[in-house]
Amino acid sequence: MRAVFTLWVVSASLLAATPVAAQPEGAGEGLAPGRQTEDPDPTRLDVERLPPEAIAPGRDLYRHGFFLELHAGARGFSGGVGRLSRPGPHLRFTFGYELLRWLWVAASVEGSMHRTDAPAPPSATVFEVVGFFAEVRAQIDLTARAALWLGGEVGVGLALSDVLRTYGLGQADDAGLAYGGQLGFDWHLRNPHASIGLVSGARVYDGLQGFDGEVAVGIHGDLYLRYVF
Amino acid sequence: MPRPPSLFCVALLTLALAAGCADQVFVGEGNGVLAFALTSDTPAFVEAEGTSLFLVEERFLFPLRTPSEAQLASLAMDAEDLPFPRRPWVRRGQYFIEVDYTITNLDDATRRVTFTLDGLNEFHEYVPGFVIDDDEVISEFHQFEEVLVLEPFERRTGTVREELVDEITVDLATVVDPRVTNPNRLVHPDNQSSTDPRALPFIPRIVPALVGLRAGLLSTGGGNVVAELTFRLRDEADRIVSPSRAWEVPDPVLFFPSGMMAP
Repeated sequence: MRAVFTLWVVSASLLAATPVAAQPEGAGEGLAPGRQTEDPDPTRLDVERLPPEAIAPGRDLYRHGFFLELHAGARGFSGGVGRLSRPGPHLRFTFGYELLRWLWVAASVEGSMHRTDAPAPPSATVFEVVGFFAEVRAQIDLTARAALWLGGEVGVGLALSDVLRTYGLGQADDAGLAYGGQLGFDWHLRNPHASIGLVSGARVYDGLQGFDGEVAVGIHGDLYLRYVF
Repeated sequence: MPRPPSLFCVALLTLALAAGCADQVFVGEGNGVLAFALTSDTPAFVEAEGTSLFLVEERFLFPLRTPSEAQLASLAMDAEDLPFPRRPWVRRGQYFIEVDYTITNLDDATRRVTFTLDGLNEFHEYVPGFVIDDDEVISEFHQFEEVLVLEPFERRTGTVREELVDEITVDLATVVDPRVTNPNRLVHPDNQSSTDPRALPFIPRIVPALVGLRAGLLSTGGGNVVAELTFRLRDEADRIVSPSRAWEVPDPVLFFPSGMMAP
């Protein structure tokens, strides 16, 4: 109760000390009635030079140029090797350059791990699929922080194990043509360098097609972190 | 400042390690699957009044690097205490072997078969025979045996792991020692002779690696049964090459355990 009373007293004192309206310095000291001026105050900021409104945030505030991306997610195959294997973790590194605000080029190295899921022999075996890709992207800025991009890529892909040969995929561990595309959603962080995003894509792998020629399509979905230098 | 270049290096290292870990290779011609079958046309291996023994076997050689003449000549030295004419070109531990198999019963009847494996190295090949006791044919122990009772059209899969094939390797090198009087005890599948004190004195100083395996299906009732195998090698000493460049291993001496049985 004593604390409440003390707070009331302090508040009342502050209100009493506050002037109802600020009086210009020197008012009533020899100036003509109806005309009030004041001398320049060297302690004030030159507010007339500030923009009338705050700067609107936009992609121009972010860094542009060379960038690096780390993707992590999962990949599975449909058709071909997909009939013999399960989806597995996928990791990808991309290095690229922003040629124009909407046009990007990049090179990537990636890998994923899969488990065979097929009649023995051999017993279930883990194999890796790696790939090296060149990519061209077109990006549309939706808002200051959000963007959509679409990329087309071509490169080579191969399995690092010869286990797929035992199922008749005789070219699986040789470098074969791979091509496809991916669609990404980018969300810029409150940082001029970094953004995160979601990406999903599909590629045709010539070397991983089935023994009967069935086309193998690798489908991946990743989260990524991008850093622009 | 963040460290994306470091992340990139870690990624490359991870990929390199992943590539480096893929040291297992499946060996064999074509797609690497060895297949053979016991069929209703298979003649009995041996017949007696009480039983008949049916046996089909398939021999498989691993694609090994060819030694030069000088290398072979150097192996002749320092071999006096070994039960072989020279030191082996490929030794135990230079590569490890794992066998995956699937046995399929094609008949609409239950079949009892035994899946067998026997080893061969540069010098010897293990060839178990049979014994006829009271008109009953009894097969001698193979170096690896798995008895399977297969229901109609049943498929059964299994793996002969590296340590079991290693046991075959040690047994074959040991059993040829003239001091060994009971090979069946040594090669018995349940007898781990590589750690058995009764067998340890006879294990040679240098154990030759297997240069191949002989797989078989053994049955006393016949039938239609198919075996499919793959051989997975983990090469630790760069001894495995492509089949086109493989060493033509000289024919080993057949080792019949019956000939070593104590009277």
